[in-house]
Amino acid sequence: MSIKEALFFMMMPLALCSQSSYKVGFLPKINVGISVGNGYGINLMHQNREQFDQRRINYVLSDFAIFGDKKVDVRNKIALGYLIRIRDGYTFHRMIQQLVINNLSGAKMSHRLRLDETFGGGLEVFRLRYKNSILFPLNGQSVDDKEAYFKSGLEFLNILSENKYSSEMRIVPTLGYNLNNKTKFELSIDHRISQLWESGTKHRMWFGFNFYKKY
Amino acid sequence: MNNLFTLFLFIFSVVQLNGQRKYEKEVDLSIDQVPTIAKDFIGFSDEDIAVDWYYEYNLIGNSIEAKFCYHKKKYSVEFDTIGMLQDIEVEIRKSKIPKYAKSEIEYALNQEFEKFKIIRIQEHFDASQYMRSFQSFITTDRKQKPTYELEVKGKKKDGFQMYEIVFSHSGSMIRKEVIVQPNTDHFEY
Repeated sequence: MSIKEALFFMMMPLALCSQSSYKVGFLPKINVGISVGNGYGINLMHQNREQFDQRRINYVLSDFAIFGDKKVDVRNKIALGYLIRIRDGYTFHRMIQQLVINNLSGAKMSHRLRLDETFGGGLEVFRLRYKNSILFPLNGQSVDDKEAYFKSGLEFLNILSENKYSSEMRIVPTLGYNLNNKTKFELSIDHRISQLWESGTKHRMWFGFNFYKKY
Repeated sequence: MNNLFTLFLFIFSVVQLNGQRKYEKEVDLSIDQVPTIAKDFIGFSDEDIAVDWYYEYNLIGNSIEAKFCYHKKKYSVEFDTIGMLQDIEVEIRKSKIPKYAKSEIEYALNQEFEKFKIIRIQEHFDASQYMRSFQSFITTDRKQKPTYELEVKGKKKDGFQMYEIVFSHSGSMIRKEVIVQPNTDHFEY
């Protein structure tokens, strides 16, 4: 895949959004992974959300998460996580369980199945999510040190809250730079379409800047 | 909060740039950049077969690699930087390995691992004076005895790892290396 093709795919969600009303903002993220041996690992994540509103950037929320993961095969992992969200003076707690199946020998593809339960602010939300990611090196057959890549992400969410079902789809084209196997930078456009099968479909778009570090 | 984020990025970047890393990199090569000797050895025109060319940088010595499919088989032909042939690799099925070598290989893998799965097998032919072109290799030099390069998923006491294991034509193990897996945190979180 060339850089021009990658940029074209990056811009696709912008065209979708121009069709209806939407919210736009920033979603910067820091992710630090630590291998602790025998296939076990710890992952720490911090993410902020800031939204454009009336020509101003308003702080919306902060997430802090910790995961414990275990390799169940060479490339497949299970993980348990806890996320704390601070929003509008309320604190929300989220428990996360996930299974990730990575296929890296041919097409570099990943399947993530995640369950999460959120409590706080008088709310209880249960979600079942599936995410598919495909990695395309922008040079050669693999992403080597100091090389860029394009990553397509497609996620479907089933949401149960107050006995009401809703759904969401996320399209996340990402342009990444692999400084080395332990350090990655990514620019992404996270386009979220919620209430898919109901009236009043909502669009939200977050410009992400992700930093991944592994120890 | 944004300032803190920028500071984190700066600190992590500086730490990383000072680290020692193994140097290996593969980049696309346009047909114009390929030495004529290498192109002549392969001998296909663009209309015949699509050949992908790569330049590989590494510590042992840089090389040029041609990858293509021919008669439903995947070939990888490696040259030095001036275009002299180094080796040819062909992806094969397990059934193509002679019986006596196959049983030796399976015995060795059973001894080595609690569980294993063969992911990929390649026949490896070193360059010889008889390899004048790819076509001559196909028609005559295939009689040369190859070594077998296996990509194996193996389980030991400390869990699963990927290995590259090279066996002789008779099935004795020559070399075994762990394949370092890429970091996949950006897929998972």
